[in-house]
Amino acid sequence: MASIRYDKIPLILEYDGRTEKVLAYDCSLNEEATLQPAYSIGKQGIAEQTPAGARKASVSFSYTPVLTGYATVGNEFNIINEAARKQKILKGTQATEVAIRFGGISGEGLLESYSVSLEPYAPVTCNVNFLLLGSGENIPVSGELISQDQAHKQADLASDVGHTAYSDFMAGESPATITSDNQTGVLTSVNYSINFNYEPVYKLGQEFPSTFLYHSANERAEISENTFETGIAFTGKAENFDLEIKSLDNKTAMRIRMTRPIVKDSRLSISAGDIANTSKTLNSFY
Amino acid sequence: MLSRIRREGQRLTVNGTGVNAIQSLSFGYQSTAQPITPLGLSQVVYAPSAPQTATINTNSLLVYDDFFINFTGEMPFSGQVDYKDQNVKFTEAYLSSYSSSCSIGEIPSIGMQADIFGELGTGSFFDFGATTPHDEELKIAGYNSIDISLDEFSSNRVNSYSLDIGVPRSPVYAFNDRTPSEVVSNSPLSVSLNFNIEPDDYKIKNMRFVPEETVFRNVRVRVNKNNSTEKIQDYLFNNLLLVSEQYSADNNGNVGIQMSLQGTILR
Repeated sequence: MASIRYDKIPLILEYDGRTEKVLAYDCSLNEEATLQPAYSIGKQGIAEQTPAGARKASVSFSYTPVLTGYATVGNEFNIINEAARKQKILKGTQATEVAIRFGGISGEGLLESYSVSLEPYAPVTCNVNFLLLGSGENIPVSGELISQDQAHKQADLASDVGHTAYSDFMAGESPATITSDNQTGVLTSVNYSINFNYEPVYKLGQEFPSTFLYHSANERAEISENTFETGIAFTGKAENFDLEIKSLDNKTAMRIRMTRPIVKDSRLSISAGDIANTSKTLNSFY
Repeated sequence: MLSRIRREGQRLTVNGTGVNAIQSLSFGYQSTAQPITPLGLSQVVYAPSAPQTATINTNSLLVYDDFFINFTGEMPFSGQVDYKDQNVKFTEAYLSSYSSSCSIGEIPSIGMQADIFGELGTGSFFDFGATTPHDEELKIAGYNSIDISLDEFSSNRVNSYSLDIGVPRSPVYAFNDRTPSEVVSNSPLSVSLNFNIEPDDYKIKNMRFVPEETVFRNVRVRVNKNNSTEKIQDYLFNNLLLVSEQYSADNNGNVGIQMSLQGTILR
């Protein structure tokens, strides 16, 4: 088999009847089987290696969101952000999956973790991890790694990509950096993440889960700033915090709403030759 | 017919004042736009990957209005470069390094480099109004009018000196802003002073002289107007640490020793 270059392996997501080619910088797929050696008295060595659990896989990748085409907030289009938004506020318990296609290999995965990183005047970068457990008779991943030619287009400005240029992180009408005594600092970076907890439901006689139950999600935002307040107000601000990521042309956006987060911790550090670094972590649970 | 722009057709003005005796000038930027090359690449798209900055460098003869050394403090400067009928303006330039040097046969010169965190280009970022013109009368120093106060130099011939001052800055950017919210002037400033001497009775130290025989020196480099005792610039540093001595010789020349002193200036 000939080696395959990165530009021949697009990463495609499908969700809720929509398809998105992800602007992914990398992607890794790990598949594993849980095997257990079976020993027997009177027999040297092992009888065999036998499955002790279902085969499962995980797919993780980093990417920059593209914000076109999906009309939920403005013209939001970002399947992962939309899937995360829906999942965390899901009233029912049935988890939904996202279809992933990666160079001819495909599977359906549960969004396990999703993080967004904002640095000064740079494209927004996200990291995501999917858990692929298969279902019913369907194995977690199938297909084969094949090269897929892409139609080339002229180079252009990345107008539609999420960029920090016009993005905001606001608590109500104020920057999220604001402290309880109304100091407003400079918010230099934001690292947001959310993790989901699921329960795959297995039954005897079937390798893969028959269904997936969604239990909870925990969300955190670590923000770096140049203000520091001593003492943590455990009551929070009783406001929702909105991380709004806008496209480089400031025409489209995607939004992450943290519901009434509370400051979990705050940090102050300084090293010689540098300025003081302060940061805090906000937590929300669903 | 194509024309050209010569030295008489250019001018650098800083904070409304013309800068004298410039020998070379360069400024420019390197765009932070980077290509995004994703998996399944079908189109390369470009986006800014960091805040944009620019730099400006000048080298000039040491004349009496060497005001760049005054920008080693916390204040930024703005300026404009005029060439022919064009002008380029820049704002919020923070000095990042300053240098001064002279050797036998040269006119003493100074150099500076500044990082531009504001704007640079042909826009209307400010208007100096009436600018102070370049001075017509220059008091240019000469290598024969430099007075260096250091004990070893009374009996050892100094061929050259070079001074470098590093001025650290820490810009603080809000994640969604293209210019810094503030530029913190860091401390300390680093000072490096190098001399090249032709020794007579100069005694090279033992390389393990630190800590038992640590050598600190107070140094004054006074640069006067050519063939005069009229002061142009006075560099005075206390407690510079001797950090290096390099002996060199070859068949066709005299023995030379390069000695380096280092120090710091606290803000």
